[in-house]
Amino acid sequence: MKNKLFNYKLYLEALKRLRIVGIAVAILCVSVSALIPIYHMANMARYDFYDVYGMANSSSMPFRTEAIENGALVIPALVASYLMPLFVFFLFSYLNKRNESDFYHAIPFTRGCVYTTTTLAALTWAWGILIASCLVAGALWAIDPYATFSFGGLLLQMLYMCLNTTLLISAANVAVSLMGTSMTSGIAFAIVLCLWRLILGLGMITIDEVNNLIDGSLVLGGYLNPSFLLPVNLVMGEALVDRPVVLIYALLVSLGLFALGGWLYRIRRSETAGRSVAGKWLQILMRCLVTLPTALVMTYMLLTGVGDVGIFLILLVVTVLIFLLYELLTTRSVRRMIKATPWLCAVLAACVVFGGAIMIGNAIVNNEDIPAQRITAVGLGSTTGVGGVELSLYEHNKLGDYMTKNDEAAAIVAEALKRAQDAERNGTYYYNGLEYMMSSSYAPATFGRSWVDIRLVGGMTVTRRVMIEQAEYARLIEIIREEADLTPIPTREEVKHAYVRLFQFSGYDQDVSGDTISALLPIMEQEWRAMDDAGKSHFISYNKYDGSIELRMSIRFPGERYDSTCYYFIDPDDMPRSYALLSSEVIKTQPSRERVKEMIENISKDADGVVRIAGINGAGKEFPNSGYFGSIYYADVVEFLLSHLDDMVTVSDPVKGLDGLTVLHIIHEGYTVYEPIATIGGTEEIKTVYAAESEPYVEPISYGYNDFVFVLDLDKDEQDMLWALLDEVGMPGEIDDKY
Amino acid sequence: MIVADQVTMKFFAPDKQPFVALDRLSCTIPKGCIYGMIGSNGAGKSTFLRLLSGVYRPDSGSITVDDMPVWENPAAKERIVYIPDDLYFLPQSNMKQMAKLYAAMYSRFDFDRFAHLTETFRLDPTANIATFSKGMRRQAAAILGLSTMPDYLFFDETFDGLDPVMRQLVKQVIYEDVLERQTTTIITSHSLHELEDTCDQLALLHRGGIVFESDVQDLKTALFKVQVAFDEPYTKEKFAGINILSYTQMGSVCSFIVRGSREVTEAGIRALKPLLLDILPLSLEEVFVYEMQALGYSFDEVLK
Repeated sequence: MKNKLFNYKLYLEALKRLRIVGIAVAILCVSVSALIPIYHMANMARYDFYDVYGMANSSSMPFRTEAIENGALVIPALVASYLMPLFVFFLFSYLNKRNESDFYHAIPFTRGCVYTTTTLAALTWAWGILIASCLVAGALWAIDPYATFSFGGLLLQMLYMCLNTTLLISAANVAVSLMGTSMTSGIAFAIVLCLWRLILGLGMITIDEVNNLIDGSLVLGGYLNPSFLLPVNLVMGEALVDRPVVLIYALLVSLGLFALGGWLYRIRRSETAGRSVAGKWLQILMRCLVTLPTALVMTYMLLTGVGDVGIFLILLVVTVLIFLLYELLTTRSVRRMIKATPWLCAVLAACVVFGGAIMIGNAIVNNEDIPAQRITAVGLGSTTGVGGVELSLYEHNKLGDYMTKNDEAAAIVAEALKRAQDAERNGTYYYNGLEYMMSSSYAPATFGRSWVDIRLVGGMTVTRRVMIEQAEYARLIEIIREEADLTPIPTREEVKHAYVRLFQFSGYDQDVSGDTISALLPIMEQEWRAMDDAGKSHFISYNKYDGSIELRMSIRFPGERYDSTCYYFIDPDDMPRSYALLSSEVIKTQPSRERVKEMIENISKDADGVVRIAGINGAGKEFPNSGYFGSIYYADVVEFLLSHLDDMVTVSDPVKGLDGLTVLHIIHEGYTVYEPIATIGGTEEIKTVYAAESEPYVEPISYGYNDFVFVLDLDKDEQDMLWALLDEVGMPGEIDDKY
Repeated sequence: MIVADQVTMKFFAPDKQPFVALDRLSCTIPKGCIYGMIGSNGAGKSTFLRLLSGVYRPDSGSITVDDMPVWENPAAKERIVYIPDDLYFLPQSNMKQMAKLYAAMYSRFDFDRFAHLTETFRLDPTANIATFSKGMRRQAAAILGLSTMPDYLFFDETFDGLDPVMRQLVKQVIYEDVLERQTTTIITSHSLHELEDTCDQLALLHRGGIVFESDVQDLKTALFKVQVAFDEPYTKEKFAGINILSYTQMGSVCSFIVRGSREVTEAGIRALKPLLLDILPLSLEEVFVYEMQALGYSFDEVLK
C-alpha cells in the first residue's frame, strides 16, 4: 500500500516536470536580485570620482553609506513570490485536458497523495527560488561597503515571501481543483483570494457612507478585513514585524485553502477537464460572482449618492458585459450566453440583499432606543475630540477599555446618541459640525461628533458616533479623568526617550536628558492641573506652531511591541516653568564659542559644503516651519556669525528662556562632518550613518551634515542687519548664482 | 476477477440533463480472460474502462478487482494499466523518459521487458514521441503499459490505429501475458472484426448496458446457416423441432439460421429428403446480428 499523502518518486517526477520553468525563473529571479546590490555598489563607488573632482552637490549626493530597508533588500524575489502560483497552474495543467486528467487519475496513488505531492513540488521550487534569491542578495549586500542592512530583517523578508507564496499557491490549488480550464482557474484564483474581501470592503465603505453612527470596519472588519491579506500588506510595504497576527492568519488561511483544495481535488470528476467548471450550479455561481464587484459598486452609488448618472450607466454596461463575456469565453457558445442572461437577476438579487441588509441595519441603528436607563457604562471610543477637547494619546492608552458607570456620563451619552439618531433620521447630520461652525459663518450646528462605547443592560457593548457638545464632551472627559485618576503626563519610568522639536527652526530636534525629564514631569503635572480646559486642550493638541516648545516622549504601552510617541506643547504663558526648563536645555547643550569658531573656520575650507539657514526668529520676525529658508553661500553668514560670537549667550534666567534672543538654526552639509559639537539630535539618516560606520565623525570625506542653533543676544540694529543680510543672500532663485 | 455490480455512471453538463453513460451495468470477467467489448459511440465502453481504472467513481453500484474496490485504492490500481484511446505522454518526452515516469508510479515496472518490447516493436526509445505516427504512439503506450507487468490490462480502442502486422504483434504479446501471467485483458472496439479472433468473451454495450454477452467459441458454434431445397411445396412448419432464429424462402429454396447441434440438425433435415442441403458457418458478425435480432435489437442500429 503506497503512502496516502506523499510519495517521494512522484515528488521527484513533479520536480522534474517543473525543471525548465523552475530553472528559468530561478535564474531570472536570483540574477535580478543580485543585480540590485551589484548596481548599488557600482553606483556608490562611482561617487568617488566626484569626490576627487568636487562635482557633487547637496541635492544629488547620497550618504556614503546607506542603510537598506528590509523591504528593499530583495524586491525581485518579492515580485516573484506573486508569480509562484504559476507553478501550480503548470503542474496541475493536466486537470484541464481530458486525456492527461485520466492518466493522472488512473495512476496507482490516492488523489490526496497526488495533490499533496504535486503541491509540495511546486512549493519546493517556489521556496527554493525565493530563499536562493534572498541569500544571494544578502551575501552581496553584506559585501557592499556602501550598504548596511539587517540580516534578521532579510530573514524576516524571506519568511514573509515564502508565506505569501504559500498563501497564493494554496488559493491556486483551490482554483485548479475546482475548474477545468486555465482561464476559469485564473478567475477562480482571483475570486478565492480577493472577491470575498472586496465585497466586505465595499460593505464597510457603504456602511461608513450610509450611516454616521456606526463604523463599517467594526461591523464587517476583523480578520476578513483586507488589511489582513498578506499579499496586500507586502505590496503596501507594511512593517509586519509588529503584526505577527497577520502572519499567523496568513498561515492559517493557507492551510485552510490547502485543505479545501485537497478536498475538492479528491471529489473532482476527471471529465471536468476542458470544461469551464465542474457542474451547472458552479457555472451559475461563477458567472454571478465575477459580475458582483461592479454590481456592488453600483449598489454603493445608489445607496450613498456618490458618483453621477453617467458613471452609473457606464458601470451598468460594464457589469452586463462582464457577465456575458464570461459566459461566452468559458462556454464558447452564444446560445448558452443568451440562455444565461436571466441569471443577471441573481446578481441583482445579491445587490438587493447587500443593499437591503445595509439599509435594514441602518434603520435599526438609527431607531434603536437607548435611554440612559439602558446604559450601564460608557467609554471613549477613540482619540477623536470635539472642538479641540480631547484625551491625549497617553490617556487613551492608559484608559484602554475603561468604561465609567457614572450616571451623568450615561445621561450625556444617551442624549448625544439620541441627538445623532434624530439628525440621521432627519438628514441634518453634519460632518464634524462644531469644527465647521468654528471655521465658517454658515454655522449649521453646535455639535461635534465622537466615538463612544456604550455598554447596555445585558452586557452587550456597542460603539456609536454621537453628536456631542463641546462642554458635554469636556465633562465626560473630566468624569473619566477623575474616576480613573488620569493625567496626560507619563511617569518617569514610562518615558523611554524624549526630545524637543522647535518648529520655529524647521523642526530642529534635540534630545532631552533623563535628568531634565525627571525634573520636568512633576512641574508639568503641577502646571497642567492649574490650567483651564483650553490650556489642557492646547497642551495635547497636534501641530501647534505657535511658539510653544514641542516635547515628544516615546512610551512603550503594555502589550505593544513598539514605542508610541506622545506629543506635548509647552506654552510659555500656560507652563512657564516647564518652558524655561526645556529652553535652557536647548541652549546649554549648544557648542562653546571656541568650538563654534573652529567649526566655522573649517566649514569655510570645505569647497563642496553648504550652509543653510533652516529657521530663525528674533526681532519680531520668525521663519517658522516652512522648510529651509534657502541654501546660501556661507561666507556672508559666516563672517557675520564670527563677528558676533561674543554675543552668544547661555541663558541664565530659565524663566526668560529664549525670549528676546535671536536664534538661528544652521545646517551645514558637506564632506567635513565633525565630531559632535554638542548633543544635538539629528534626523534618522544621520543617525544611520553614525551607526553604519565605526568612527563616522572623524571620517574625513564622509558626506553628512551637522545642525545646530546659535543663540545670539543681538540688539535691534544687529537683528535688522541680520535680516537684511538674509534677505539679500538667502532668497530662493538667487542661490545658484551665488553658489 | 473483475466484478461490476449494478454500476451506474452519470455525467453532468451545464444547462443539460444528466447523461447516463452506464445504467445498472453488471458483469463478471474471470481471471485470465480476454474480454472484448463492442458498442457504438456513447455506448459506455470508455466509461466502463475508466471506472475499472479508478478514474471515475461510480454514482451507484460497485466495481471490484479480485474483491478489492478500485476507487482510491493504490494497491488495486497498481495491478491495472489503462491504455486509453486518447493517449498521454509528457510533452517533448521520449519513451525512455516515459518509462522512468511509469517506473516512478508502478513499482513492478520491468525495464528489461521494456527494452525487449521496444526492440520487438522496433521503436527508438530515445526518439521524441511527438515525432511518432499515431500507430507508433499506440505501440509506445502498449509497451509502457505491458512493462508495468499488470494483472489487468485495458485497451480502449487501441487496436484501431494499428496496421495489421503491428496489431498481430500486440495481440501476440497480450497472448503471452495471458498465458504466462494470467493477465485479464479488456479490449474495446467499434468493430467486431478487431475482436473476433482475439477475445475469449464478447459483450455488446448499448446505451449504458450490456445487451449481449457470450463466449466466442460458443457463439461461433452455436449458430449456423442452413440452405435447403425440396421438390415439393413446403413452409417453415416442415422444420418443426429445429430452433430457427431467422427464416427466408424463395421458391423451392429456403435458408435459415439455426441455434443448436449441427449434427442433430443435419440428420433431421436429411431425413426430410431434400434436393439440396448446405450447412454453412456464420461469421461472428452474422452471429451477433441474429442473436440481437432474437433479443429484439437491430444490430445496425446498435453499432451504427
